[in-house]
Amino acid sequence: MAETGATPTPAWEPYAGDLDTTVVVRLTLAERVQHIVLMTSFTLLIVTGIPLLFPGTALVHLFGGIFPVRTFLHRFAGSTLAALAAFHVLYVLFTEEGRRDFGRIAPRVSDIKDFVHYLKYQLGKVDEPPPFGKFNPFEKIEYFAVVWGSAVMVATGFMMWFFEATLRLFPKWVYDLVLMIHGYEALLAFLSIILWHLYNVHLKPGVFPMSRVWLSGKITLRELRHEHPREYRAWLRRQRIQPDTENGSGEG
Amino acid sequence: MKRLFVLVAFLIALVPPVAARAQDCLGCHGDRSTTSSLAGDSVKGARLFVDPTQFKGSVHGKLGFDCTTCHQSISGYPHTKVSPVDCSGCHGDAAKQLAGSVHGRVNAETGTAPAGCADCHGSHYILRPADPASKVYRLTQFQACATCHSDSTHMARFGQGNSASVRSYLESVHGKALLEKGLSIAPVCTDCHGQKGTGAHQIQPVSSAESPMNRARVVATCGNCHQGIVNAYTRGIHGKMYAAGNGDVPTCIDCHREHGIQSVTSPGSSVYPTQIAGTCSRCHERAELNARYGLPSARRDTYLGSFHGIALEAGQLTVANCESCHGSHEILPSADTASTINPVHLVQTCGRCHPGIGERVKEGKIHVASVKRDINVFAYGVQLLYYALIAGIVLFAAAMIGLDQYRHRVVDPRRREKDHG
Repeated sequence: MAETGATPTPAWEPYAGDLDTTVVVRLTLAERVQHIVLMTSFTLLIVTGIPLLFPGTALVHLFGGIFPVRTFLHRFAGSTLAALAAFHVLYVLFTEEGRRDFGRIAPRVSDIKDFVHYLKYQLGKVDEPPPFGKFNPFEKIEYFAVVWGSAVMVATGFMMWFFEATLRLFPKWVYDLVLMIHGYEALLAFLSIILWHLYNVHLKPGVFPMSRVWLSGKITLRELRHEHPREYRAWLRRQRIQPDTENGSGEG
Repeated sequence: MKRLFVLVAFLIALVPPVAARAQDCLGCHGDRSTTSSLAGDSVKGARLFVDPTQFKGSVHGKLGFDCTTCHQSISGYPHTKVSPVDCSGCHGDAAKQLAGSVHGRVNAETGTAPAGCADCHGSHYILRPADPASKVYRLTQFQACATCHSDSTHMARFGQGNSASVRSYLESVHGKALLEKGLSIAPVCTDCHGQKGTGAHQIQPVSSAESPMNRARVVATCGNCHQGIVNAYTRGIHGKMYAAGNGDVPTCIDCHREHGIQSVTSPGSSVYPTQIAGTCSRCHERAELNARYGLPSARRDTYLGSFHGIALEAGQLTVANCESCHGSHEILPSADTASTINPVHLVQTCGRCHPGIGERVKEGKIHVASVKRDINVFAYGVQLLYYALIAGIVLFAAAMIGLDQYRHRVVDPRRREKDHG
């Protein structure tokens, strides 16, 4: 169900009181579980991996006497991430929600327009919030960055894990390159999560200290209207088209 | 020698009228209260006292020597102040050896020789060196040496700053073998510092070419016990260059230390896994030496930054250190086909810990110091790309956070004001 930038404003609006009491599903249970698995495996990977990028510092001493445990945990978390990635591919291909949300998260030309609108809005030049769909341009970039990053990290990670075999297939310099990429990509991912994801999802004014969407999967109609206007209008349309759908269990 | 002693003792015994009998001397000197009253106080008196039983048990007492055999300036009673005993009458060779040694030569700073016979052997109760109760017996010899060598003020008088050598020796693998394991074959001071066959008598300063601890001789000296290691060292690049007279390459003591030498299994050893990188780096991180011999730099940092180095830093001692790949005594340059790190042996060397490692480990550098030089230009491009990406994401995120804060702190309040106004 692809929305275009020219979505007409629905003929009716809910009562103002309903905006805060009506909630719509933003993340399905399957998506929340995937997010939690991603979050824990990512955190474990960061904790057991990033210190290795800073040899000679106190960070490395975190693993004093338990280096083999670190190695095991890192590989365990990495394998979990790989399994999650495989599951996610199946989820996107073979479930209705997966297919639909992938369609919504795929980048469009209108995202550029929305981004410019967003900049103007943030600067106070326009009053109307940018007409984001279910996923705003930043969330789209972030999603594909995670897809790309996971692919790179899983591939290079396994090449490092099974380096004996890697060195049967590739020269040592490829292994060195793999090692380097794994490190830089990790740093990139870590900084993105810290500076970008944590701020924009949890720490920004109005949401601070934490958004509960990753736990409940639901947001209020008011939030939907403000953060994802295009999706809000689509939701309203769906209510009209499917009058049997009760408020509160609507698909957001 | 022994025969000579017996002969001398016999001859001395034949001339009782000239020599005073020990019995006569011990009448005064064998009694503590008499020596105390003679000297005026008990401390000075103790120096005049001779224990008759102990003297009789000494090597000279057993031979039946009289006091005047050594104290030759005394001819009767009462006697004046005695002149110093001269052992060279009987021990001519030893006296000559000592006179040429660091202990026997007159020291320029003090005007005296640092040590005479009695300083090591004692005086009235001398025992054979092989006697376990002797002052210079192997197990306790260090104490005789420590009398002076652990006394910093005493050493300073002779211009010597080092008074810790005996102490560090006792903490060493050699000292522990001697004291804790009771191994009387463990090396003692004179084994390394003395000349073969003359015990301590010919000790020279290490700077002297005659000293067995001089750079020119130290390898051979260690080889007295560790010949197999010396053979391996001689086959290695350090040993080959040492034999050719090179002054830069390490000898045994440069890597293993000297007095404080530790077992390689001891965490205190300079070649223990956690220490060895530092030990090798003492030369291999010196720019002038690397330049002189065309050696690559940054070996230490590239190791410490590698998986091996990081794991080691975290306390995993089983990972590879310098020695694991390069070898130790028989170490050879990578260009040498006999070297463990020559491409022809690399799979075998790495395979000792990583069985099944691919042949292509040869196709690239192990110590990667510079991405551009040691991997390739493509990898360098990837590195630059990541620099740009990381800088980009940080700057972009910072800008967006700033913008959001601007909206929250500046735009929103203004808007609210307008709405209310």
